[in-house]
Amino acid sequence: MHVEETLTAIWTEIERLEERFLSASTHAARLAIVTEMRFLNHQVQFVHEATPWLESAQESRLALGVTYFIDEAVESVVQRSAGVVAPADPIYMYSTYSWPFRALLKELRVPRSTEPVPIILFYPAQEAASLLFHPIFVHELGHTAIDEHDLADRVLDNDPDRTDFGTAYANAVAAFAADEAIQPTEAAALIDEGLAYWLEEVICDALALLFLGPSYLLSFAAFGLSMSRSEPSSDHPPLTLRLALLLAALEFDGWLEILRPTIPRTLAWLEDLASTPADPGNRAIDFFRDAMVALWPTVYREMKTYLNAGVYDPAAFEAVAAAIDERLTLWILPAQLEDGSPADRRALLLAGWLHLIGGAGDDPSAIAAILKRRRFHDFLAKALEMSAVAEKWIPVDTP
Amino acid sequence: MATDVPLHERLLVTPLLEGSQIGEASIDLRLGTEFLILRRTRYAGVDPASQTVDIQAREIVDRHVVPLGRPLWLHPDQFVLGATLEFVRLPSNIGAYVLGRSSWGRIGLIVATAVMIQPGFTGAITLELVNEGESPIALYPGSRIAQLAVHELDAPTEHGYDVGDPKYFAPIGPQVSQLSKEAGEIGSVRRTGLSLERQDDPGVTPV
Repeated sequence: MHVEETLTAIWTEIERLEERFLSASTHAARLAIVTEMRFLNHQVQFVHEATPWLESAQESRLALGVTYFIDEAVESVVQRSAGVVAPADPIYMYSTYSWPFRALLKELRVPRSTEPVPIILFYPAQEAASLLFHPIFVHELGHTAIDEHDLADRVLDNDPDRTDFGTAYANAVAAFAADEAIQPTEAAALIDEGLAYWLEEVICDALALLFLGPSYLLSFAAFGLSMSRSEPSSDHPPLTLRLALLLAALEFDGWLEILRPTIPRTLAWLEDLASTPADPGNRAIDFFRDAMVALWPTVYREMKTYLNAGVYDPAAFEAVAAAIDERLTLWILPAQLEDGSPADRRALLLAGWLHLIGGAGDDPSAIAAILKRRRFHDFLAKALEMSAVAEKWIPVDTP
Repeated sequence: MATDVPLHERLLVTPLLEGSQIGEASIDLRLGTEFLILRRTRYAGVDPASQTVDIQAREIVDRHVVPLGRPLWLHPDQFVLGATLEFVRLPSNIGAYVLGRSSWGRIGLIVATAVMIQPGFTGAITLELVNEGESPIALYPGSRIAQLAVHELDAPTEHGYDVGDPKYFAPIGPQVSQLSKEAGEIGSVRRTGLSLERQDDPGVTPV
């Protein structure tokens, strides 16, 4: 719809410019209109970016079970009606856009619509079938949730240590300006930008962890560790810091009590990674790091309130874990449980992770190999699909 | 349903979306969402004696996913491979046949040209679907397309489908032919034929 709205707006603008051109009485006036048309043409080129997105909507490379799960996550995490497409990306990363043509629509003076929210979720093209990476999609949906509901402001407004934070911020700006020999206003702008990026990432991590439970930790670690460790950047906290925050949250909610007996070595390895000393950074990076640690309890609390019933309860997983694992061991599709109820898709993802890690002797070095077990990924994706079908099924005699 | 029978010894059909699928003598099965649609290719044909027969078998099909709520149109004389929505597991003392439902048969749809399901089978059942009618037929994934007629063996078999190296283990959708696993059989047939030819006419040069 967003693309359709954009194309309609462009066509309307073309017609308007055409009318003005035909009625223009001077050469200068016509030249001015031609300049406007060239600018519009330049803008239209961006709309061509939508072509692969639209193609992916026709025939997705993702399993149906993943598509259904994304829709389920959108409902809880974005909490808006949304139109989601998930194109494969040659860049090896998960990323997202929402409202990609909002700026153009504003230029064309089109009144802003609020729903459905157009969301484009990119995933690495090579990993279409890697189901156990795809919990990362929920992190990406977090970015849309932040935009739609001003979640970053919500965190900062509700931080009980606002005063201390303000003092730390001012000190960081002054120190950074002095170190870099720049004006305080420039230092403040750079710190504001970096802080916003870092905060956004940890909010997305919190949303994904709360919605999914530990399968997000495992997917995040498995995907991210191949690319980074303790190196900070201007727009992402170091992976080791993010791991530490996620583990602290899982401990707080009682998840580690479930994981520790099942995957003790993998958990110990993650905890060891999380305690890796931070790489040295500049004063701004140091401030961001301290700020994320200080803000994390507020982030987690606020996102828990925001997600509300969407938070995954460890007790709910414990109640079904053994039954799902038994079915996975016997290669029986775990779509329905003993009582005929559909298995929770989040339980399937976590049980899948634990089954594979346990089957590999809880050896962290085997994670790369278990991620290549294509048959199992396909099998679990089919379980997601059938579980969703069973949940949404409308019986014949329903009016 | 609550039962004391261990999971691996049960007849399982999952997901069972409606209890009414269980009939007096059969279980209705629904059409799944994955299809393999046959197409013409550059290969001369599918030769089970060829070393590349599995590649040939994969080359002649295109995989399509049709979500619930959308139809796949099957045209007259068209053949596609589908699969049941349900994942079926037969214990070692139960065998089954998959048969079409007469409602579909009466408009020309032939379901399941290979009907026997061995004890020990686990997975979605591949359905061979042919439109022998004169009009295209809209097939809706999720609709009841076939029925599973089960029969109990006198005793559990020791040679169930799940013993050894089954050709199609725990499939989740339609499976491409694995004719290469018949290579031994084809080889034996050809050698037998050659030996018979030499017997008939010692002067014939073997091919």
